[in-house]
Amino acid sequence: MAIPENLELEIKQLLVERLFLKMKPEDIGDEEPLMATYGIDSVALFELVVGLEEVYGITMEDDEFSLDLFQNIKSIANFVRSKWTARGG
Amino acid sequence: MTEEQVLFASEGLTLYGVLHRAEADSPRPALVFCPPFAEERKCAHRIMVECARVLCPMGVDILRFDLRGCGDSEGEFGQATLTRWLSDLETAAHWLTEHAQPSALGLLGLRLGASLAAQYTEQHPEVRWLGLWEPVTDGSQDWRLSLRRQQIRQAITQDQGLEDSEAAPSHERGYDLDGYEVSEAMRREFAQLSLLHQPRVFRGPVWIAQISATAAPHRAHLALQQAYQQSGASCDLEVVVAEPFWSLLGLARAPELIAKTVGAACRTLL
Repeated sequence: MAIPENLELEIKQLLVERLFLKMKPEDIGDEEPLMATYGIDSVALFELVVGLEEVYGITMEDDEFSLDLFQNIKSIANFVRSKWTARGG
Repeated sequence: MTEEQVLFASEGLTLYGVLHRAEADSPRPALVFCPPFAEERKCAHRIMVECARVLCPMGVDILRFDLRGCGDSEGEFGQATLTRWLSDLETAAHWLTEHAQPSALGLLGLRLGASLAAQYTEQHPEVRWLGLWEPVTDGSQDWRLSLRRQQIRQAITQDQGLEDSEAAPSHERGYDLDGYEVSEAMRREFAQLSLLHQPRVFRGPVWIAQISATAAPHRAHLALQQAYQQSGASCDLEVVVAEPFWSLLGLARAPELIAKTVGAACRTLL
């Protein structure tokens, strides 16, 4: 399983789905600040982390977690890519 | 339909419950609701009450109760263990059977309450129906996710400049889980909890409700359904697309879940 070329769009779809956002995934900007724009609270962020772990088969270790990872779609995608690279794709 | 507060004793502690009594002719079936614990119990309270108020008029007596150390029941949360909570469930089911003299007994649980209900039925295969809302199938995995949820909440609180009153886990005193002190004994039992790998006597019917943002069944729920079916039990899995109301503090609604639950319970119990 290779890293999807459209990873950013996939993450936007996951965000809309898991957070029950009433908008189109493609309307979310890659560098739009997620926490402030979409009112993401701890419950929503937890759902997002669990979703990323489920969909991409990655595990976010305790010492890896940081709010900075969830600043925007681009930062989330970079984290997923780094986890995939670390485990050999 | 009437609702009356009831008290009963479990190992010297007084447990609090509410009995929803139907007006249908006796004997009629009865159901014990098994709640989750800690914050999840608070958040799920409204949905469980709503479900009882929809199901009871169909002709089913329902007992909702609080595990020791939770809600209005006596006991220290920090001294609770899964074994003791299972004993509380035993007491609640026994109390309901004695007082309602039901034609059939069923159990409905949410999250850890569902796991306790599933364990109870392995000791009491005469139970006529088991409903599992989003059961905890793997305790060690759920413990990891609980700590992650706490880590996220603390990160957000600190990011907003608010002081967080909850300390990091102190393994000497126990573990601080969202402000609830969990003992080492409880953590050990939680880590050993595995619905997938326990011996299976209960033959169902079992009804599993997955409550999630996506309509695709989760691997853990499919595995649980398969485990029941392989042991000869009848087991259905339904997915309800809804928010995780047991984690939400606001006014959550779950009409589809309640409708499907009432349908599944009535098909077997009535």
